Amino acid sequence: MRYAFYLGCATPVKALKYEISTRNLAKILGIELVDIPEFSCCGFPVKSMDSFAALLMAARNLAIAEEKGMDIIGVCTGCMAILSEAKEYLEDEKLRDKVNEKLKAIGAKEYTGRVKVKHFARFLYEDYRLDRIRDKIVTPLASLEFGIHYGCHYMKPTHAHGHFDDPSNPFTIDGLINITGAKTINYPNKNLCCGLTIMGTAEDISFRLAAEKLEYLSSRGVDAMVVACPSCCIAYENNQKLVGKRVGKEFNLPVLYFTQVIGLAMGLSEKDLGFEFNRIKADKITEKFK
Amino acid sequence: MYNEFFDREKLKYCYQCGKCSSGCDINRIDVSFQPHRLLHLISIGAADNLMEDAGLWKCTTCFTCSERCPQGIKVTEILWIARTIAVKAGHIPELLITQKDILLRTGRLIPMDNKKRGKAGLTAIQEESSVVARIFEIVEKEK
Amino acid sequence: MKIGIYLCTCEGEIEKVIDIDSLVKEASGWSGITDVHKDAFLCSEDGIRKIRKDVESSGLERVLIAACSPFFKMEEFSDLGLNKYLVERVNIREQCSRAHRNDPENATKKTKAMLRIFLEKAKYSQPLQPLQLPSLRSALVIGGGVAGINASIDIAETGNEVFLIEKNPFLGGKVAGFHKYFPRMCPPSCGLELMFSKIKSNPNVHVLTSSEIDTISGSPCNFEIFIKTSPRHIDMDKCVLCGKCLEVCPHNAIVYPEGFSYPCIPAINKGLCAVDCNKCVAVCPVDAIDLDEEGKATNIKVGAIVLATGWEPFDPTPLAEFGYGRLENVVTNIEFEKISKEKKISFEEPKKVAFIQCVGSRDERHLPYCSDVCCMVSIKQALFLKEVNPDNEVYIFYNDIRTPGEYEELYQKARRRGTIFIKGIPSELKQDEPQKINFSVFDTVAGKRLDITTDMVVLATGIKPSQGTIDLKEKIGIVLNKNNFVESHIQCYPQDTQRNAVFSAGCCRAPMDVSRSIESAGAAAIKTLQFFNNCTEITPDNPAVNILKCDVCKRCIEECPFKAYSFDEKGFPKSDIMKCRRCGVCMGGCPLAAISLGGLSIEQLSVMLDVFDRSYLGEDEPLILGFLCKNDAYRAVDDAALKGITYPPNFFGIMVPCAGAVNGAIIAKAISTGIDGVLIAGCPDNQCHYIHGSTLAKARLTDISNKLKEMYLEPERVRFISIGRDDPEKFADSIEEYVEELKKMGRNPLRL
Repeated sequence: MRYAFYLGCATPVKALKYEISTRNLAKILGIELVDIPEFSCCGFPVKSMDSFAALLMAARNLAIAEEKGMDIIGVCTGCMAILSEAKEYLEDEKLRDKVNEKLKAIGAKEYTGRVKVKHFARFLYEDYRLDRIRDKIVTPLASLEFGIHYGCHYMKPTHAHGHFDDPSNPFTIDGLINITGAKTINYPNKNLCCGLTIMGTAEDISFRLAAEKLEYLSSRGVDAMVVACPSCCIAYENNQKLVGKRVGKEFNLPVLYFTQVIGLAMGLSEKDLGFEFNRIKADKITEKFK
Repeated sequence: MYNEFFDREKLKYCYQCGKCSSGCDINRIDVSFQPHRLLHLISIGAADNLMEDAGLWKCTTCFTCSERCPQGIKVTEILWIARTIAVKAGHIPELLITQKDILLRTGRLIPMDNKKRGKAGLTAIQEESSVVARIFEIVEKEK
Repeated sequence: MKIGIYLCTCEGEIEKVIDIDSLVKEASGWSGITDVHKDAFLCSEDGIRKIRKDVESSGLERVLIAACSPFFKMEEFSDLGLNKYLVERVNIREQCSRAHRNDPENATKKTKAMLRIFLEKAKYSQPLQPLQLPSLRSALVIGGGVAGINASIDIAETGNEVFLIEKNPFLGGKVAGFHKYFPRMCPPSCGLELMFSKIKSNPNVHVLTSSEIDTISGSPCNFEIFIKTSPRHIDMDKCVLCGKCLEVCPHNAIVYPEGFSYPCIPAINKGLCAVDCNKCVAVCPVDAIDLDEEGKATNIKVGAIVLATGWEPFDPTPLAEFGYGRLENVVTNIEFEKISKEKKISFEEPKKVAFIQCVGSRDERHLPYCSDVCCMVSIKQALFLKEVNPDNEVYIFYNDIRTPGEYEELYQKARRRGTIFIKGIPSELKQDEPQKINFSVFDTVAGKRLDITTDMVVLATGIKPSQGTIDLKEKIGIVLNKNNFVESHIQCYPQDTQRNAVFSAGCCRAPMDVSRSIESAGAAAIKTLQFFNNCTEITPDNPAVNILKCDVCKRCIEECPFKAYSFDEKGFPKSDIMKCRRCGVCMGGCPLAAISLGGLSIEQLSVMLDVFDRSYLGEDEPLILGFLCKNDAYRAVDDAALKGITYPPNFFGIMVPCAGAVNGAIIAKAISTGIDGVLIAGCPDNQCHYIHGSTLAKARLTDISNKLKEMYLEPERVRFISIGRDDPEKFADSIEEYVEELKKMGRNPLRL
């Protein structure tokens, strides 16, 4: 089955290791992710400027995928949340008609509600399924322990995503990582937001939020934090030094995407998983497999 | 005052239990940000000063408040809508002005860097598209 | 037929508007009229005596009383010497002389038309006899909690038989498990013991524990109940309560009574036993245990039923953020009762306890209502903690504190004893260190965030209707509201269940505390007694189905608000005389007009239309025939007179039990025989005294509209309005408007 690959704005510029590892993982799993040049920004940043414009931006992407007859798989939790929420809003006929009228005016096709939207991790858990992943494991990661950071938009708001995971007790990405043989921990501030969305408007709060989780996971001694969103990765990895400086600490916690971890278990090489782009070197991890 | 997405009726359900503020991680760090207070002011129609309030821009949209509200109020959504009102009233953070500029020009939030992509072995992606500009044009025309 | 017409002038008042003398003269000439008399004070002893004399001497077969509204002087006109169904009250005061006081000429014309119509109706009236159907003077009380127990005692102590059925092996319900109950903080053993002794000493009460209802059949006055009783496995006569069986049982299969329990004999839950254990049998000194005892099936016959199936506590597990089931020492309020009663935790060594209110209640996603008792329960538990040791720290995190009436005193007491009340609900409970619970909460009053660490958190979870209540929906056919509580008329008839002879008491109806449960039980008991006393005479105006016309479309069965219809032996629908409340919704809905009420038949309405003088106001005035529901609309129209409100004499009202009783065939006949407008007036939407009669009447207008369109008549000629009891102005205004519109529409082309 072919899927419309929704990259979003951040991943193809700021999270190349995520894109590389996702593409290579998908290939080895036999999932065809099709690039759609017509896709544009999902509308998340515009939601604070104009609600209807944001909805139009999201609806346009949905309409494009629908026209191509493919469901959407995305890598950024923020994009997936916005597109799912747009789908929910567009269940209202009157609103949908209004949106379709405007889409026509900008030369896009109409949206009728047939497209499904899923984050890649959700897709792997629900559709691809754990047992199929298990069958393809080449290198069990038994000696590794990770702390998963789901991020806020992966499964919330639950009314938009459907309750495919449980915000109080999340299990899908833990499941994906556990199937590789690695351990994952439950920790007190697992639900804590990374704070990146307010980095530009309330930097101090943003950094303090990031610091809390970095502090806990560092002290816990996990091998790495595992993330599923480029924004969260920026918050915890790209900004790690800055955040540390803000709270007077020095962090050295590797941050990996779940695709990189699963990819390791599939036997993919570090190059194929974009490890060169890891800002915090994950040598301690890769050592264990040499 | 608010837009078509603003569920004014649902906001009336709020009975000020404070659970949203209790669970808000921003409030934990900066106690001046109180979602229940913002909702209350909006619901009683006393939200004019809110437009200039820096607090509006401190919400990370983590949705914890909305998920836990016993009355099922979409707190996050209401705050987001309040932001759009503030923007229309001219209270827009610097960052958003920059972001809007980039979006209008390129159709993307972050400018593409195809050189870097090429070096990493990834295919090039279209750098500029007028889609977002066109969308904004249509929306502006409505008014 | 010999008919007498009596016109009252009401001490001359009516005469000022209506020319009574001319009517007397004219009516005397009508065929069949034997006596026509005018009287100034018809309802006086003298006046009544005169009528009775005429009835006897002239052999009158029908009597028309043209006077005040039929809702006045009912007692006075109730015994005129002939069957009361042969007496017609014609409302010439409220709905004529007073309503049209500024138009005496037309008021008189309208009165004449009224007399003619009701005269015709009277000719077709039947001398119905009330039925004598004695009820079995026994009641079934379902549920042995505090409400059921008290209902049973109240019914038994007034000399009637009661069967009290309880699914657990002991009576007492939830209250028996409490530590104390408010406001007096007594232990439940005290109150319950007194109640049990009354049950024990009253031979009228038959208690069936470990029993559940299998099926219920029959009808009010005569229900047949099939009951299944599970075996107790312990002989009640032999057991001496030595306690040895409890000591040796390795599987916790023995439920042991407390000192005050009733019956005070243990019970064995064989489902928890291991095969071939038999340790209890071996150790019992009096051979009272029989593990092979079988269950029993019994059936009883009763006249009335009281539902007292109580409540279940809300399980807060779905509110995962509160950690119930995951974190140690996070308990519900009902669990706290047990903990404090059984001293599972010593609060003598000071502890810090936090109560979180409204967990599950007042929550759109779970229990949207307030569970009534939780504020008082937490305060009760807080006071207990402070009493055991004033150094116990107690916090109550609330939404609103609801302690009405004199319960306020306990709220104040809790504060004075040092309980800290914070308005703000925590969002998440955590366990950062073992044995403790910590959370962060925003104090909305202080505008400050508080970080709290406690030894225990009590979640004040609410009251949910029990599964037993929900099961009864199928078994008895009672109505449950949207929250699954027994539907009742909460203001005026709280014990009513919309089913005759079935009453409700206690928490199955609404969340309530012990004192209110006991009160509601008393009220249900009184209703039961009234039922026993009153149902010996049953009004004969129940509906009858004409099986020659009926095609078994089943509409009556489906639409009856009281589920009174079922199939008879021939396969035709029949209304149960005891379940029926005589609303007439069946009569109104029957597409073949095959159903008639005892006191108001389709035939009668039809002949009334035949003699209705469509030109009584002259050729140019439109006429509106109105069907007014007796509960709200008719009373409101009467009230218009009281308030001095007038409306055009173009309107002519006929009382019906419910707006839903008006059959489309009658409406069609009215319009197709030249009446210009038909108005159906019922109670406002959710106030219909017959649940959905009013709504049905409105909905049926669509069918009638279509029928009229087929006849090339304007569908706007027929309309429905809802008139509340206190809406006479609305009525008068709508008649004014209606007349104007009919004038514009023009005369009904079918008027001859």
